[in-house]
Amino acid sequence: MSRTSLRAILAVLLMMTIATKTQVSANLSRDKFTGNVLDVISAHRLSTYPVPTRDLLPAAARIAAPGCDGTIDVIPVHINLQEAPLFDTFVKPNSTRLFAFLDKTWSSEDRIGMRLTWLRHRLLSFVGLGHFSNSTTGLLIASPAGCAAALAIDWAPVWRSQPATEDAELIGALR
Amino acid sequence: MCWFPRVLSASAASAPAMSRGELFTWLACVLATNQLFAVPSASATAFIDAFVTGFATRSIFYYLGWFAVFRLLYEGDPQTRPTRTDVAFVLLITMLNFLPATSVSWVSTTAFGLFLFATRPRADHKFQAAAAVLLALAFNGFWGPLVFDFFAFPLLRADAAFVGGLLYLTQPGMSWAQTIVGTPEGHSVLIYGPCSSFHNVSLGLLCWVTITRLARTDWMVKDVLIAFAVCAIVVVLNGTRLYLMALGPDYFTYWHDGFGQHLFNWATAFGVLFASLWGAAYFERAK
Repeated sequence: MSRTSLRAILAVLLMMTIATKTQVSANLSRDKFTGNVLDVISAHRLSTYPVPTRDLLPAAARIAAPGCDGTIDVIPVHINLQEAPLFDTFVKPNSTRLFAFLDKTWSSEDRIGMRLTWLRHRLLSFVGLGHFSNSTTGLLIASPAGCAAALAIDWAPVWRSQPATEDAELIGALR
Repeated sequence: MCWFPRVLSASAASAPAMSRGELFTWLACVLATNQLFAVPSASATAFIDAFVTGFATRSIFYYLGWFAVFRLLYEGDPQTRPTRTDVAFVLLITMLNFLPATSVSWVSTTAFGLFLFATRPRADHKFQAAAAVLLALAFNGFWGPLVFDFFAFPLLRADAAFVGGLLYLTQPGMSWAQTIVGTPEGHSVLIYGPCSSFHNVSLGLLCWVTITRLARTDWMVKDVLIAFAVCAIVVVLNGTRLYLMALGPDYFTYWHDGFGQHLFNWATAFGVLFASLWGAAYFERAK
């Protein structure tokens, strides 16, 4: 292969790879993430309360669920759980904690499990098979003792690549 | 009408073949531009904004690293011709970069560096030096953050123990718990991932590898001392900043959001740059 033809091939390939990179999907913004959480909650026909504003560990939603002795707080947390030292201060005492990220949930702090879930979906998105947005934000769901409403919610649509509202509409239609 | 193809093939046959350095420079172009242009955005206007922001927020050491790669590849032996394996590798890596994931270009940069190291017997020292810088770039931009993500909490606790220990020894009533430093009842600071010393360590090491490889292409055992010095400078400066932030709300505002933040960034940049330049110059004279 001559130098000129190889240069031409490489130049074309260079331009084409750049073109594919301009199509990279955007990360989930905080507002979009909160919106997705509210969409999932409304799809389950649960009502929300105003969320108290605070700088540290702000909640995305406060849910009122029937049969629960109190409200459920849905709090965005980094999947490395760097906010863990604040949990005892800002999460109601005696509450049941549930952690959710992508298509999995955990009943206790599991940094490795959350990170491995992230890695699995990153590998899938590497080859174009990912179904979730690129995010390192999980959810801490703090429910009153004996309240199982949060367990019945599928939180995966919060991170799904397609708009959460489409998932929410689907859930609503199935009900 | 038959003369045209013959002329084309004759001119193609007489054209000198591409050098190995130029072939690899093309691959470096693909990887660098793919890293610069891989900015997540929802629309064309958002893309331009994100591109400009991304371009401006990258460290100067990142651009210095790519400059070193291009320069070292350019300075390679121009007489060395690429083998079929070289051409196949370059085309394979370029095709791989059609995948949409942003991490592809970083994995490719790692593969490129390892390939240059693996072809050691044929390669000249300039290519070996470029390989070292490529691996340092990949470590800083991809593998380092990945490792940090897996071990973030223990690393943050180590930062907190270092700063909390200093506070405990020098300030009455101050201590640390997990990743919180300060006083239990008063002002205290929670150390988040971006505040960790680890991030700047990988950037400092990128600076050290780049400066050292630009100065000379062969490694010396004493280079490790400079690497340790760079890490120490970063950890001490970062620890000092966290220490000052934990002293009170005013200190926190100044060192976290105010002019102190810029002061810290410049001090760290000059510190690692000075240590790297001094190490490169001193050991060059001592050879």
